[in-house]
Amino acid sequence: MYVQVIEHRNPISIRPFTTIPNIYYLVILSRLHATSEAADTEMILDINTEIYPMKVSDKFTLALATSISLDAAAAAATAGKKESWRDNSNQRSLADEYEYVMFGKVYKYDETGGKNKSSIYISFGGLLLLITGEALDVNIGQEIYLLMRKNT
Amino acid sequence: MQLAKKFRNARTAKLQTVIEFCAKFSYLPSKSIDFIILNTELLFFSNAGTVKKVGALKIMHEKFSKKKGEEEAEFRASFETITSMDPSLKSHAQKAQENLSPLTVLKLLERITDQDCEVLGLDPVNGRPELFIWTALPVPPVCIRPSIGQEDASNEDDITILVSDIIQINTVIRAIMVEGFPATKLMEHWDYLQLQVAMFVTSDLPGIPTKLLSRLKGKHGRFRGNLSGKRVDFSGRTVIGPDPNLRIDQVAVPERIAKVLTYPERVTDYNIERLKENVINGTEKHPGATYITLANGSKRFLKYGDRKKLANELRVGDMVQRHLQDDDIVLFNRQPSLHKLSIMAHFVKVRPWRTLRFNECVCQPYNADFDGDEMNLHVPQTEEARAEAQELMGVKNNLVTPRNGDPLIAATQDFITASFLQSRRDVFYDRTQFCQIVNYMFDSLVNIELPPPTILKPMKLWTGKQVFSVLLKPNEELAILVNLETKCRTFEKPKPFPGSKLLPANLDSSMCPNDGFLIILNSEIMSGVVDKSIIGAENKKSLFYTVLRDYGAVASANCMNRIAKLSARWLANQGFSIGIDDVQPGEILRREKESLVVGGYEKCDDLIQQRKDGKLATAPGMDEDQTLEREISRILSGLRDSVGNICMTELNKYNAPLIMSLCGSKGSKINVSQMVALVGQQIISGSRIPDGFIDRSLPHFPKNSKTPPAKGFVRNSFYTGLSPPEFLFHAVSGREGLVDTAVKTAETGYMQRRLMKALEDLTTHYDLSVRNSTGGVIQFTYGDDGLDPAKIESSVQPVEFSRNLLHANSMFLESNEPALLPYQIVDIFKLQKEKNFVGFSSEYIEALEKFVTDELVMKHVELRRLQGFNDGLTASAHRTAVGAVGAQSIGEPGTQMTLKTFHFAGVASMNVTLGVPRIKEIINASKNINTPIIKAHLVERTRDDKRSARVVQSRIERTTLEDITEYIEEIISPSDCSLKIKISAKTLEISLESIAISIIRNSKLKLSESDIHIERPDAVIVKINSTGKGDVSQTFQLMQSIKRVLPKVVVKGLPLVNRAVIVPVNDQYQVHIEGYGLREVMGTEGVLGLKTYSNHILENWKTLGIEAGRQTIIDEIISVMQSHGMTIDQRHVMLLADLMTFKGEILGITRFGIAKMKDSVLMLASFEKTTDHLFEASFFGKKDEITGVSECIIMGVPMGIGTGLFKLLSRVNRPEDTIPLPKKLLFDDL
Repeated sequence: MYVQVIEHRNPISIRPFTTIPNIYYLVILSRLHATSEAADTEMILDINTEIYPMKVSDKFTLALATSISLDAAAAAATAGKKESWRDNSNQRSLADEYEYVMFGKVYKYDETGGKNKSSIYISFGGLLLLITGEALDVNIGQEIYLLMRKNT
Repeated sequence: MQLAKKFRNARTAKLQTVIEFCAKFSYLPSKSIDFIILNTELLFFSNAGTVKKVGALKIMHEKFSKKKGEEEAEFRASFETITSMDPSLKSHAQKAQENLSPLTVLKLLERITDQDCEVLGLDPVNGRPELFIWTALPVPPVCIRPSIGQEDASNEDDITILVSDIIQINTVIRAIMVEGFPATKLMEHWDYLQLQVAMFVTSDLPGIPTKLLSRLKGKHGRFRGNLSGKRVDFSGRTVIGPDPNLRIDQVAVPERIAKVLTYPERVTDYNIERLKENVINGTEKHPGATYITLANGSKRFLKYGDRKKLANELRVGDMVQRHLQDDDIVLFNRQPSLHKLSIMAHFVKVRPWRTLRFNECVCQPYNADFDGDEMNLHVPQTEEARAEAQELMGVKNNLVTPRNGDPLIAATQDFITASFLQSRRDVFYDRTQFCQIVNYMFDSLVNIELPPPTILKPMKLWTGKQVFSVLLKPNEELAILVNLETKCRTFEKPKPFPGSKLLPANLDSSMCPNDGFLIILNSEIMSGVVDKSIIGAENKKSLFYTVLRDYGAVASANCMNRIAKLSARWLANQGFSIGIDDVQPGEILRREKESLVVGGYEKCDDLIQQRKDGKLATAPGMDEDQTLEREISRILSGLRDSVGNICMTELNKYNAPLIMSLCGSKGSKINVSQMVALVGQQIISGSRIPDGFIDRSLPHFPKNSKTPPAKGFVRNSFYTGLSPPEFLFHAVSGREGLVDTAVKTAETGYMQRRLMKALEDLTTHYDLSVRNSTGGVIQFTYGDDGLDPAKIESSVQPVEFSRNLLHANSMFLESNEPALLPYQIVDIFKLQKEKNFVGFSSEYIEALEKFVTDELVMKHVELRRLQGFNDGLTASAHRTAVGAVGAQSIGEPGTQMTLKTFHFAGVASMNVTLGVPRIKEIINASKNINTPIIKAHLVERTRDDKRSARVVQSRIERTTLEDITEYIEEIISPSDCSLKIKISAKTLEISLESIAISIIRNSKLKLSESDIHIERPDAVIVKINSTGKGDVSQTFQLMQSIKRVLPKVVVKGLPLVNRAVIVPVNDQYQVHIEGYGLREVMGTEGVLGLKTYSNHILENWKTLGIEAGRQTIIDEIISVMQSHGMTIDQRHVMLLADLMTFKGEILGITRFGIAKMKDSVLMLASFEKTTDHLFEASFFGKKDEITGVSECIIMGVPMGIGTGLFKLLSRVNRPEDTIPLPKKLLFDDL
């Protein structure tokens, strides 16, 4: 494995079936509601639609990863350490395979929904992601990368 | 013997007791008094008659009005010579009485023995009675009566003129006596002299300024004007201005002020170079100095002379009066100084120009704005003073108000706007922008660790929320970890998306569509906007308060500094202004508003029509007009609210007023809609605009019109412009507001002054008890737990458990320790409880235990988290002037309780007085209060049934005879007259017998049992007994007078009750009673006496005892404050209640109550009735220990409060076993 992808079915496919009515829109930001093709995972996601426009019924692939480094060993080494951020976008990474990448933190983990109904709340600098479905192996405070690409 | 007893009890009122006793006798043989020997001739061996005042200053003694005898004959005989010389006087001589001239009185008084003086309560040495008659005139020194010299003429002071007058009369009198002018002339001058001397002291005549007393009295008198409030050196005052670039604990002092104010700095090895420089700069150049005080005590002025030489001669130990410099400590103050935060210690920052400037965050405690306000500056002159100022009054040590522990120093206005705009979800920055913005807040002095961008691809973008992460943790060293979850102002419960199957029904609050739920996880904002509830004042769930609790005042202040700089600079680039397009309503808004207004008007018209037709159903306890008025007001205020809501949704997201009202920085929803949509109903004293003309408010409307526009509803907005009638109505209501504020400030100011005088000397001592300056205990432990109100974290408990748990949880996210099992948590808690929980209140421990069991045990929590709980509990108030703080905490919110309209509240008919008037009633301990209300719970079964509740109501509510009478008939027959009272309803436990008894008992009627006859089934006959003599007209008049009184006879119910109403409370019925008579209500059958509550303090005291009175004071004050949305820590209220009750009776905070609480003459004199207290004190020869605050201020000595409480004790060199000799008692030698 070259990435630590949280989802075992790596990466999960999710089909958006609706984008949300006007109130939820800010000019450059949309909150979209999407569901996986198997309809066992649902999500709500805030997206900067100015730089990454999405339409209703767009299909896309979404991956959550704890690191986007392609070097698994290095990823494991840096995972626990706190280090200030460095711009290494010129290096090859998992992001190369995706169109839209965000970085954030898990802030809430709700398992009260029942079996296969865990809800994970992740905040990407205030842009929220809620994923409901099968339980994922994450902790509160864990750093998460979100990677997206549209399926054509 | 009785007198002797009374004597011992009333120690202070000795004189009065003696006089009362003696007044019973006109002549007393000495032996008749068996307990003391009074040998004063005046009182006991001579005739005593009435003493009368004749004219202004003459006193006459009618010695012989009652008893005539030898003495009188002797007295009359003394006139023989003069009558023989002038026979015309003979007729007058018979009427002559003794003239108690000062001389006579003086002689009489001189003969009172020392022993008797003591009996009279006077000091036989320094307070002998004859000393109260002046035999010599004290002439005040010239500084008391300065002459004002103009160029050519000089004007003498009033006192000087009076004194010279007196001297002149004296010489005239002397001349008369020498040269032998007629006696009438002598008498004339004598009387005039008496008048002038009296005038010298005081004058009851208006318009005469010369009074020694008037110099002492009043706000500008000696006591309050000069002794309690002194003018000081080393102070400055000028206009204030804002400067967000200053730290919150700084004040920018203009250079020209800094050159005048000086601080005496002692020369040491460490500062000699700097001070030399200062000396060389002299008085005119800024970091300079004005004087040098050499070690030998001589002073050198630095304006002239060779400063270089002086600088070279500067030695260690000299003192340099140097200019104010950066980081000096000054006290900064704005009047009115309503609470301790009105004076705080700042660090100086010397800056150019002419205004004093400070960070806007500090506006709130001073209540300052920059529309021309001026503030004062004081420079502490010693190192000790500086240290105390910094520790006790420093801004950073006063971030929270002691009133309830809320933070007062926090972001305001623009800071909130900017933070709000920046933290919105749609704010993205690229790297250059982000770096720029982040650097706004640090002055480029801090290394910043850039957080990773939120969006990495397709381009790197940071969000506005990340700016706040940098603010809290700019780099590894400066990082603080904040954890906070709270609602923002715009919170709204998130709704799940339609058609979703998996999403939980109750989404987490953070998914709020308005981004209205703030979650900060380890200093990173996860969700939510930063608005007033996050960085604003008076909110304990705010960011700054959390930082203050977890990381201390310095960290919190730093955050504020950063926010201030960031916001000011960011907003300066961003721009934020308001224009005409911000107040122009859109098409939809205009249409919606129009239809709402029309709809509302129609509803009102409909109601008015119903009223006309008499179909309007009245609300309970109201008549038709009142119901109509209430309904219309309800519709119209609903109208304003719904239009306001439309404004909120229809205006665009970039509308400046909308932004401001959303984030809470300025203005409300209503203010926005007043500009854009409609101004709304204008209100005067709680109702719509009343009629100023006959039957109408203005001649523009038809008479008796109740339509919305005729009664002051303004349907225009400020943008569209008001019509002339609307404009007038708006001005009228605006005027009311102005008048109300003016009145209220005066009222609350006086209230606060009284509170302060009553509570000023209360302080916690080393044993944690609260005592006054004479050592009297007010409370054994301050507030029952000794905690400092400023350090209470939640409204209920000193520590907010759930927030601390959250914080502890988040701090150790990456811990690898195994989680504790539930039983382990319980064990640890038990251990801690036994070991560390010493001196905690039992309620606190209980609550903590409950929290631990409910939250922790159920949820599996780590060991460390539990231990985290034991911090922050050591907060207790030692040696603080808790009284002063309490007085301020109660008085200061009073000033904010403006607007009369809020002074009544309650359902339907039972109104309760609220606001300042109610607070006044409570602390005055008024006998008659505006709305006395007794809430009676009912006994079981009765309370569930409305009918049985009604029976109880009828037992309480007053029923008069007229209520149950069909008619009263006069029956006149040849033999006798009588009145027949026909009873219409025989319900409600009233029988004919009971009516008869009520009539007999009525004191006005004076009827006896034999006068009343019962005529079954339904009448009572009252016989009129003529008073004999057979005078018919007299009998008739008597009958008429009885007939007039009869209808008002109370046949059932309590006489002092006005009304009783049945109120359903939580499925149970209660009877609420308006009026007095708690005791009677409690004794009424059907009332559950144990749960009956009265809001009348004195009645509670009289009925249930002093503790009940105390509890009522606490409950009532807290409930008034709550109704105005203000919270006061109950410890302050408890202290006030304890002070009002600690003497065993309820003492109001009035001049009478305070006089009973305090002993110090100086304190009382500086409060009210200055002269009365001074006269009394001199009469009884009182001593003042100078222990209280007022006295110490007057005498200029440090007071025994706060840091002054500590005294150095030393062992006196005296054998332990010697007991001082017993004091000799007064009548021992008799």
